[in-house]
Amino acid sequence: MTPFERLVRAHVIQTLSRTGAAPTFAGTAASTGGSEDAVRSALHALAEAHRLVLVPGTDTVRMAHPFSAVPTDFVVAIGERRWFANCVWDGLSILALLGDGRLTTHSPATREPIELTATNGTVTGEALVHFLVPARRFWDDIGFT
Amino acid sequence: MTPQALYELGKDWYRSRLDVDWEPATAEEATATFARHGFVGDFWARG
Repeated sequence: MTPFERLVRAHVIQTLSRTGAAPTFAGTAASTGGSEDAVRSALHALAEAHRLVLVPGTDTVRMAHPFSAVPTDFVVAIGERRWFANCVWDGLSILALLGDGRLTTHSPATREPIELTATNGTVTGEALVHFLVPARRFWDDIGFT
Repeated sequence: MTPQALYELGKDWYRSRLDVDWEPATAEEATATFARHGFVGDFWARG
């Protein structure tokens, strides 16, 4: 990553961490000292390098792991704050990074609601998580993974 | 795997992700991180 790309990546993920939403192009430009065009170029370079994921055909951030910048069925709640995660692992990771709270989702097989709670490093709730894709192929289709 | 195991893995995997100086793990580092949490074998090998 170039120094500018590092700043852009950090601003995106730090904003997602703080607010649950991706920053605007103007906000990232102001934070990094670059132009909006430079920010857009950096986002594409970061996506090409698998440092984040864009919505296909756009400059819009879709994922900056473990955060999702778009609504998903993996909702993390800490107090009144909310984040979307990309999967159960990412949802639990957000709790591990940001504090005690709850992850809610639904079983892909039965659509039954699933709730996992993290309290002082201990996770409670009924679930087993199955990874379909081997680790070396995670990025073949990160959305599917 | 259990949610607790994934929580512990995630805490390790993402611990410096918010840092400006974050660098992605090499294949060897990634494989080692998975192994520290009991995720071993060819399925979890990144290289």
